[in-house]
Amino acid sequence: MKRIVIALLCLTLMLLLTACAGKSGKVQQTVLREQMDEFITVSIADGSIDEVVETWRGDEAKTRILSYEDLSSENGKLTLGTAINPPFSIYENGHYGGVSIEIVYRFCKAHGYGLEIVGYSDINALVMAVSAEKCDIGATTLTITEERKKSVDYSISYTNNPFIVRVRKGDEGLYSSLDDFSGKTVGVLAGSILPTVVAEYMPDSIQMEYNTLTDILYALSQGKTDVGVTNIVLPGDLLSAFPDLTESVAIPYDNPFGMIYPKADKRSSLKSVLYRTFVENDRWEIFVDGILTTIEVSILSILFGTLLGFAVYYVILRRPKKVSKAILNAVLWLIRCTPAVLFLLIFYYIVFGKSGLGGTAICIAAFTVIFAATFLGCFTSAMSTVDPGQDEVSLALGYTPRQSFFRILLPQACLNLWPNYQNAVISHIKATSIVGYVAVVDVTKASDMIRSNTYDALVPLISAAIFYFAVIWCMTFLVRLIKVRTEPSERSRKRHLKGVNQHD
Amino acid sequence: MIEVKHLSKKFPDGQPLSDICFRLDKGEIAAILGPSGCGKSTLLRCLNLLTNPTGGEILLDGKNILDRRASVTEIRRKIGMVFQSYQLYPQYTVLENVMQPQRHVLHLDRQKAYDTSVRLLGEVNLLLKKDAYPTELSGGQKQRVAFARTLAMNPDVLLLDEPTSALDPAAVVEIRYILKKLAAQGKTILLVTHDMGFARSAATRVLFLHDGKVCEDKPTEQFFRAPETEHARHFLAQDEALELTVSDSRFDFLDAISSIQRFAGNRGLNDRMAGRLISAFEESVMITLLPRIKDTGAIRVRFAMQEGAQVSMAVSYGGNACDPLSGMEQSSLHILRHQTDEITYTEKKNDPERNQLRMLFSL
Repeated sequence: MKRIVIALLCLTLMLLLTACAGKSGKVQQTVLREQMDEFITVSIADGSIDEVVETWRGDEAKTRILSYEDLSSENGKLTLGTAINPPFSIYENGHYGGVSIEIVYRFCKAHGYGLEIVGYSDINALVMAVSAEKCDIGATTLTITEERKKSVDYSISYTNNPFIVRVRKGDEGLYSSLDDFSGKTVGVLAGSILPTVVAEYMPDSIQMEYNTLTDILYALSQGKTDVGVTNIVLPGDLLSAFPDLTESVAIPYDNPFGMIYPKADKRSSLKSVLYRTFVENDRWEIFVDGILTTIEVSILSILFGTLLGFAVYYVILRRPKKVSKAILNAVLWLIRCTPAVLFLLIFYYIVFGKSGLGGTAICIAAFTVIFAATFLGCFTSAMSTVDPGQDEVSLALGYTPRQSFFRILLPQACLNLWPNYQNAVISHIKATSIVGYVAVVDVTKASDMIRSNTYDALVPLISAAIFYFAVIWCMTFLVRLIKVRTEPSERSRKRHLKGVNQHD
Repeated sequence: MIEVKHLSKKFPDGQPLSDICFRLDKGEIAAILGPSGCGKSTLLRCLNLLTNPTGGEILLDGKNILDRRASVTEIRRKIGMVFQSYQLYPQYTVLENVMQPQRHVLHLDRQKAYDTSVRLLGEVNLLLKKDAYPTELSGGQKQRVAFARTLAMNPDVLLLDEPTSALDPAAVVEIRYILKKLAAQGKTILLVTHDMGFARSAATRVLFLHDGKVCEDKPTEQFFRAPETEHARHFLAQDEALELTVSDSRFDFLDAISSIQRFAGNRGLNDRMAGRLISAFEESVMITLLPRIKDTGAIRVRFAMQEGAQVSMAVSYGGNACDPLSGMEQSSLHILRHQTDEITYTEKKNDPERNQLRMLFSL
């Protein structure tokens, strides 16, 4: 048995080694870069890039298939990293496509390279993957910026895709220049160059970061933001899905797109990384704001959720009627079976869709409901551990039903409640890390934002983790303090005799 | 003073109480007797309004407590109940168990509640345990705390559900003493019990329940000496004797021993007597007769109380005439003669159980 395990381990190790070796022994980066720059220059000159852009904006985008499996790999195989961002990077019919992908595809065809495509969740993940040499080349809507140049190397620009402000139809008369947007809420794409550009050209506007283009347009259409900023070139079908939106002022920024490669020389000291993460551009402020938001959302939702859960128990489950109990159970199942992210999005876009309520308030509402459901589960099981005879004996002694519940049953249930409650609190605090989905900046989102600016993953992620650790430790400490007050074994046996003359 | 008129209780799956009538005066101790499942506990719960009766009246000092306008909480304060399972509050110490209900329900200040609690715990002999938690107490001690807790509310009527089920003989004596003292103070006491000895020695009245009705309502001695109805006679006779049947070698000896112990305990027989009965059963039936069970067929053993403070044990079995006393091992015979006061064998020729062994034990 032991030998088989060892043999299997050796085999895995060998496979890993070959895989690594295969990767390192691939296309020469210096050659690749020269060839690519030359290819781009030629393609711009002969107009083939404009042709590619037009192809992917039109109806043909839906059916066009790049058969990169058929490429000959005579000069080696390129690993191309991308992040979906139509029309520059598309995944349709089981194939990657889009403007940037097709340029690389044409390049490979011209120079005899094979192509393997790996998809990443967003641009930052892609930049970090390329920076960590997981890909030979990265292509999507990648703006060439000085900040990113610290992490990756760029090709020359193959096209520009400037930004434009979009507004709801009927509002276009309100804005004639970029100065008119001061004090307005602006939807921007999280993790892109947009927040920086908008901060520069529309300095007094309030930014709301969304994770996808669709979310920006949807939020704008619903009135969650006053305006939204996107690229001028967007997929045609996306724009036709929002006929109530129209273009307003353009931002005078070129937004040049390029391919990225792993940095040739990318050593940077911890000190400079720390400096870039926290001090440069006062990024610590984002982090502190995020910390406050996380604390606000988690503590308020735990507080309200506990109260709500308790109220529901007291009103419905203390003396359960069949119908009300069945309805409650159905609602609870619905809440428990919905992933927290979905639940939050439903609250944000549907329940409070046009309420004008702030994102943080909606998050607190959604998490209050989620925690109330969890709490109700914990509390019901804690109450079921109390002998029903305890209620009867209290009633027999002359307690009113309410007195019996609060004075006798509740303290006993609490003894069995704390362990579960503590766990629920811990999971809940961690679960709040998804509020970034609805443009609320909490610690996780703050670390994402810093990460997307500095392209260093280590410091922001570890800082966020340390913060969660600290907050959760504080909360469990708090719960423990309450627990000590209720546990008989943890308190004095004579505390009830304060001020009593014991005659001895 | 409590009076019950035509009280009935229906459940979806049966009717434990159909027509209950009785009247108890101050200072009376009434034992509610009856076979299992005859509605004794339901009756107690109805009196305390833990279960709502279907019909009838319960008058407490002339006022109908089933009246809708009557305050349920107020009534429960006047009718105290000690539960069979005690139901002490686990989160409180003994002292708090007695103190807190006074503070919560009667709204007494700490000092008054403390003084009452200490006095009552002194009366039930538990003052030394006042800072213990219920989990640290024995069954009898828990019972006494439950007693003190109920008494602290100063009820006029006291309901006891199986007060002696977990008590050792000394504790039973103590409880009896406390009950008599309370009755002398003018409290009305109602108790449900399976323990005939306790009922006979503690109660002044017996209410015998059968078929959801009070079948007999008599002073205690009169009930036990001369039960009127067939049901009561049958009930008492059943309780008088313990019958065991040994039909094959898979017989559950341990179960038999606990039955004998219960038989002895219920009649106030001491542990030594219980030991003598068990030892006689073991030597005669288990060691001597059980190996021959193929010849004898089922062996019936009957323990019963006899006049003149004697217990009898009768063993009867079939098969050929066979005197176990002559065929028995010397050591067994020695033990048997030592434990019994009298031992006789008779053969009844025409009886299917022709062999009869009878033993007598004097207290």
